[in-house]
Amino acid sequence: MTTRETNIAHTSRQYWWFQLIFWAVYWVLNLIFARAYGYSSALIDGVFIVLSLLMLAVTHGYRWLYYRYGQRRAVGVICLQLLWLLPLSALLLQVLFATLIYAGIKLYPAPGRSLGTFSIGGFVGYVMNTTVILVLWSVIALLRAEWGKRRTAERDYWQNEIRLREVELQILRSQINSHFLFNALNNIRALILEDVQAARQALADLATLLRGLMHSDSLATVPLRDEIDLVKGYLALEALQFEQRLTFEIVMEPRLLDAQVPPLLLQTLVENAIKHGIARRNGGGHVRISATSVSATQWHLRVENPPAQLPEDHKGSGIGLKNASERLRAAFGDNSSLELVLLSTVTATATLPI
Amino acid sequence: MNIVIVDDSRLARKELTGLLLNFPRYEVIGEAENVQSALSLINHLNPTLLLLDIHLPDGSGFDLLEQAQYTPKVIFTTAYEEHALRAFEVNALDYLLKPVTAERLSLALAKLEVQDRSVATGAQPVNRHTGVHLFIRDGERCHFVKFDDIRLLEVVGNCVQLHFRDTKATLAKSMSYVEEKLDRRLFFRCNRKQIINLNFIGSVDPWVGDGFLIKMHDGKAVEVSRRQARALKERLEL
Repeated sequence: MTTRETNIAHTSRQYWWFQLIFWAVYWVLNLIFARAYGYSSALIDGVFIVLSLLMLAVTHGYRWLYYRYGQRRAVGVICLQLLWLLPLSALLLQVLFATLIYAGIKLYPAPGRSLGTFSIGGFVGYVMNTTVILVLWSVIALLRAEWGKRRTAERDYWQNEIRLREVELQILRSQINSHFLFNALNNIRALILEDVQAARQALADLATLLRGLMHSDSLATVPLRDEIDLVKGYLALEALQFEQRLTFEIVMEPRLLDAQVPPLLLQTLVENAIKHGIARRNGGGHVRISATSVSATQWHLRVENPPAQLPEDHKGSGIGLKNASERLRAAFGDNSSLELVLLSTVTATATLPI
Repeated sequence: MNIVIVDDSRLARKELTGLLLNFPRYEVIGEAENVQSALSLINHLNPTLLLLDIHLPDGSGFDLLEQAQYTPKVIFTTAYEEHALRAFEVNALDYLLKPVTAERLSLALAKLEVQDRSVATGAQPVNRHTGVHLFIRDGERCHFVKFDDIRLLEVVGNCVQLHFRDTKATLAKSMSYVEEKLDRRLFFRCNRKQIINLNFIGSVDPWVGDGFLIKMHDGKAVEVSRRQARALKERLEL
């Protein structure tokens, strides 16, 4: 909320500068025209100051109306309303202005101050002139307001995106929790009867994995080294489920171990490889994880697995991958990409900047 | 009671086998780790009960039930609540969430025995070849229907629609496939498109062309063709 409040205060100061400059310029232009027609006196200068102040008051009224009634309406609707509002207020303003001059001369008569002759044509001219100025002011003010509205909407959009990303990561974590976690616990429970040392190791792996899941933050990135540790723990637990049906290798260029990756990116890719590949084959298969640099500025993080035995009903699949892809873009922008190639092996390749 | 355990994780099977040692009335006669091996086990061993995991390498537990010639009683075992709950949305036997406790398993088995007794005292003939249930997957919903509960079977397009209890479900199989599973003492084919459960007949009246018109308990009218009218007379000893 604080950003919004400061934003309004900022807008308000900008608005008053705009008003001051706009009507000061109007005043100066009036003086220039008056001099061009041969009128020049302190009185005339004062009269034009009054006119500028009246215009300022009327336009400030417009602003009030806009924020009171117009803000949520379409620009077209606002323009339709201005079609009658602007000429009417110009007329009223000129009537008030003329009355003020008339009253001034009556109350403080002095030599050289005369009313001159009132002509309808002249009055209509003044009204039209005022209308044109008010139209000009309205166009500028309206554009400015609408642009500000758009900018706010855009900023809100991005803030929502970020919030959404965080929620998505949370969902991702809970997905891992529900399916994988209970299978792991069940397997460890049986393993206790069979091999106590292995069961103890499995609990330690589970603890490492859970710590990694709980501490991961959607905005920060982590060193590849940490992500690999997490994935090793994850694979060790999946090995309890699949036993000899799951084999894996991890091939890393040592200098890439410090490269930054979005948290859970590799975990998501490996989980996909197991869920949609290994788990859907009677004989299981081999998962290959590799990190290789492809140029001075880019490297590939790759996970390869054999495809599912039977074609999958594609219900709900692809969400994890889409999510990973978006988190990758959020972290590295256009310097990164994620692609999945399905041939005799399924290969997920993330391209990241060094 | 004979049990077959179907789960792709050896440790998970071991866990269940270990738990079942506490229940001397139950014997594990086979273990399978995928749909294919489970199918042949079921068809050869005719187990009374399946402990069935939902996620299997070559399909789901539902695929297995759909393909099996014989539908044993089923208790699903799963680590994944969402899937299990979806299946049990309508009616099924029971499910166990992994890790399974001895207490929870004991409750599920006790529930089965209660159902067993009600079947035994119901004096309904049971077709030992197909079990007492029919498994139906109708889109997202799964039903375990007791044959006794089926009132009427109707051909709808290429499928068979089954009316049971207060609902109906569509089975993507041919009528002759379903008819083979039905107990001939309980069910009667009235015409090319309809089979009824004789226990649900309300009244039988003569109808055009030497046929009959049967009013079911729920008010539904079913015509008996002339060809089948004689057979019906014999069955009902009219």
